Amino acid sequence: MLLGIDVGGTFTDAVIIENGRVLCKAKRHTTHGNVTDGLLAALDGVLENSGAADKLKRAAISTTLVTNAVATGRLPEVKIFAVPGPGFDCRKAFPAPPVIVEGYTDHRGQNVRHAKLPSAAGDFLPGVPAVVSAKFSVRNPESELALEKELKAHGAGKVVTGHSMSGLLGFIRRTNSAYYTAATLDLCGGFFALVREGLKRRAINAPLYVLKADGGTMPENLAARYTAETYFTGPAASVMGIKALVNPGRRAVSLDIGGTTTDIAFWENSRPLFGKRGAKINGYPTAVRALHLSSVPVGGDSCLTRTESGIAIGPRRMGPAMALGGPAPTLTDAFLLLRLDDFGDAEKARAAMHSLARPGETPEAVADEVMRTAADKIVAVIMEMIEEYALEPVYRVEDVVKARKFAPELVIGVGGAAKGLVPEIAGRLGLPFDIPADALVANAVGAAAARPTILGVLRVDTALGSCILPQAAQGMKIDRNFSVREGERLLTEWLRREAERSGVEFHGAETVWREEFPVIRDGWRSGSIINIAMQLTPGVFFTAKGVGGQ
Amino acid sequence: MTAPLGLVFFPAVDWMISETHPERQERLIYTYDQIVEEGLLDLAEIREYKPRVAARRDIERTHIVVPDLKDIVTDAHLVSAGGTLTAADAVMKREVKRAFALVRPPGHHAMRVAHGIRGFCTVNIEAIMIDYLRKTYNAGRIAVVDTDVHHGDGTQEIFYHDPDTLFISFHQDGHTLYPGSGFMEEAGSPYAFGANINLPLLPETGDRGVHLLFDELIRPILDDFQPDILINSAGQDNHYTDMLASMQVTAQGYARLADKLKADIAVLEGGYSIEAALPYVNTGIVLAMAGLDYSHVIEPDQRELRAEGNHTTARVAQLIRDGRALWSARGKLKAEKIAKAGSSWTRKKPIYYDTDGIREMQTETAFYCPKCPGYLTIDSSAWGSYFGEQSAFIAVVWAASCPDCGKKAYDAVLRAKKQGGHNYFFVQDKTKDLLERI
Ligand SMILES: [Zn+2]
Ligand SMILES: [Zn+2]
Repeated sequence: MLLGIDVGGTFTDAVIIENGRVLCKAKRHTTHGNVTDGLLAALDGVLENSGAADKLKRAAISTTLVTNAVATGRLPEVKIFAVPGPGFDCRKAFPAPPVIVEGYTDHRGQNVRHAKLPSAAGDFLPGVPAVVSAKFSVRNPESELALEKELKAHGAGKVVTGHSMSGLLGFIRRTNSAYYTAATLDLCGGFFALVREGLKRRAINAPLYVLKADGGTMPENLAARYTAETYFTGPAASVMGIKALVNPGRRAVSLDIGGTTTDIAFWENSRPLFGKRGAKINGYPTAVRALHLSSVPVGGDSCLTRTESGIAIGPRRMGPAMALGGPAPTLTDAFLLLRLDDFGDAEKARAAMHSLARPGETPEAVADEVMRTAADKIVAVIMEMIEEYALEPVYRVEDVVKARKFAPELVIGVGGAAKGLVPEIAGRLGLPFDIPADALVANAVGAAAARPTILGVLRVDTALGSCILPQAAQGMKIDRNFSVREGERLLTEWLRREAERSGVEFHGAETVWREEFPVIRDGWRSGSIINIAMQLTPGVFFTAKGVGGQ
Repeated sequence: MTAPLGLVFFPAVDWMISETHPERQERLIYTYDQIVEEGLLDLAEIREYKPRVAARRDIERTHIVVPDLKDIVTDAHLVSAGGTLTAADAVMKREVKRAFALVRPPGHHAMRVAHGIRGFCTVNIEAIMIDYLRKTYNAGRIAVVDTDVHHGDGTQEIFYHDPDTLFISFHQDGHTLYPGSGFMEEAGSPYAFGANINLPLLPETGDRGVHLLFDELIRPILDDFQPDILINSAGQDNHYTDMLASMQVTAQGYARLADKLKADIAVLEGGYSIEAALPYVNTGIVLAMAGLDYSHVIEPDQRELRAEGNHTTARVAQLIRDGRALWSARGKLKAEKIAKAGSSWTRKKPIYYDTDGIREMQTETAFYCPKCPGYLTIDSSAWGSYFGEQSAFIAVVWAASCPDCGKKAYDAVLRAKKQGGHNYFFVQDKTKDLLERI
């Protein structure tokens, strides 16, 4: 049995899954200030029906904790030590002004000038978390490791290095990831302890996992180290829920239509599409891998206002629907009147629509207009995403010449307002649609179902005789004939060890991309450069198409 | 919002001439690494564009490929040429202030008639862009400043009869470097005299010499010409580490030049020091064109950089004197040349395709008309390793040619066909935007 928990802004959901079935589910209000209360209430909701505390093999949680902490701007001070070397002036690229450290590593990973901490660097307060990030540290982490040691000797608090964040290029992204990680270490550490405590109080001893922005999970001990990865996990949870509930084999668009927003994702070969580079946190680009998602401010609770040209939807939320005792007309009121929803007072919904009516217009006509306007807005964003996706730069001739537009064949809807809106949207697109049972707890299902993910990057330069796995800060000498296949074997081994180390069952790894090109010196091939990225095969533990929990 | 810079970045990592050829698959990979590691593609000032695929019509607006486009033009060329068109559109539609087509394969050695690859170039991507700008946006005066170390002989050849396209190329003296041309006497055909300016520099010229030449000669000429669109053929092989040439320009030298030039569109050309120069030169040019601080872009290894000698500076001073004299006297000289030419002007050109080992002999005749720019005929024969021998007779009808001249051009080709002696016959009719096979 698997336990999934989603601590959202409004609700805390819990589900228990057995043999690919949602065995029981509970939805309780999130208790801000003391999250444990809401969490315990949701746990009780699922446990009293199943009595399954000791049969749980895994507990997984999706949380907006880091998202909220960033949004409120209450982050502790973090010192950034950056080693940019020659190039772009990065002094304004980070959330906090950096201390610039002399030194340089070039694109081949050759340490041209050793990094040297300025003499005043030791003056900052001991105990303050620090970030150490050097350009091309993923090609050679030496300078970051040396500075980390020096800073610790000066009494710095926790030190987060750029190369431990990601093995991919992007100095500013790695630095920002390290910054948001350093800034949320204590916060997340405290929160995970609370969750563990809550689980214990309900006699749940299963290992705790935390959802990541890429739709995978990581064990609590890693989550406490890579806290920035837990940013933006709400939409990722719902996408993994869709994977578990529908597992669309065709090209699909999925819509999570919640209270205030609709999150849109694209699917191909049963997998959600990824964003090209990484998530932005608070406007700063980071190395956090994330799904290719768009968010439209249209949801069941979006309040409606009459304008000269029609009806405006959202973006504000004033409260729940009038049919549910709220203060202002909402999308949900319109659905209720159109009998696309059946949860609330139909007369109040009629009154809500009437308040928006032009002279002589029936409330039904208003509801119809509301529905069409909402569908228009979402369809427009879907079309925009398709255009944008077609315009994403690629760097191979073949990829330009053979490019095809993304053409969805199915619309999937989850979330509270899906039932009301998805049929209309699918109709506009001329596509069939699917609204799975348990669509209301898709996030918690996604958390329960998501497999752990780890991405590893290997850089081999046989001309220099070097082979490095930056995240492990692990280098080794290799010979001229080192091949891509050997590289993949090495990386698979590392992924297997990492999986075991974090208590994850290894069920295979896949290559995300690989490239090999020769190094030419004076007209001769003096070696080759190999870049490989591999990951634990992502996905869900089960897919439960058509199996509901009712 | 109009971003300061549109960047069409296309390293074509799956295209090469051969594994050890300078124009090989990883030529821009180190540059890609640098640009991504620096985070340039994430900056709000830079908008990245995906190149489009150029159409047959886009290529044939500029080139006559013998016997046919598909015989030598690969998908890579269509994407690289398409990249310049994407850059042009981004600027002309005001989505961005300027654009840089950081694409390969390059093009500035490709001439109007193409039998194969020369100087690593198959089709001339700037020329294709210029013809596209004229056709699509009715662009008037266009200036090209070619900052590649090699003479841009293809671009010169294609616009040699066009008084509205000012071509300025500085390069290492042709006595010491491929393609061997690019002297000041090559100043344009009579009708376009003075619109082609070659500035051959001595080997070892560096930042100081190049900037002196720019400030004292190129800048004033550009100010005088007042182009509607300014293009930079942004070759980077003047760099002090480039193995194909012997110059001493640095990344700072190139970035400052891009900053002063303020080209509307830059297009990458050569540059083969793929590890020690390109990552830094491109970072510098991108930052400069985006209006960002580039002063920290310095090669980590400057051991090969040497101070400039007096002889290179003396050559620069000479070029400034001669260039000023040519520019100020161009009106008078042009009138004299036209008077001397009479109704037509002919040049015979041997053309060598070093990459493919093809030899071509061309006779090109510009026919003049009192009512219009006239028309052009080209008699081309080539001997190549893989096709044996082939020849073509071609006429070019200019966009502003009068109907009489148009008819004369077609008649000339029909006459040649009747006489026999050539394998292929074409009319490149710019009034119809068509390349017709006769
Ligand atoms: Zn060149
Ligand atoms: Zn005429």
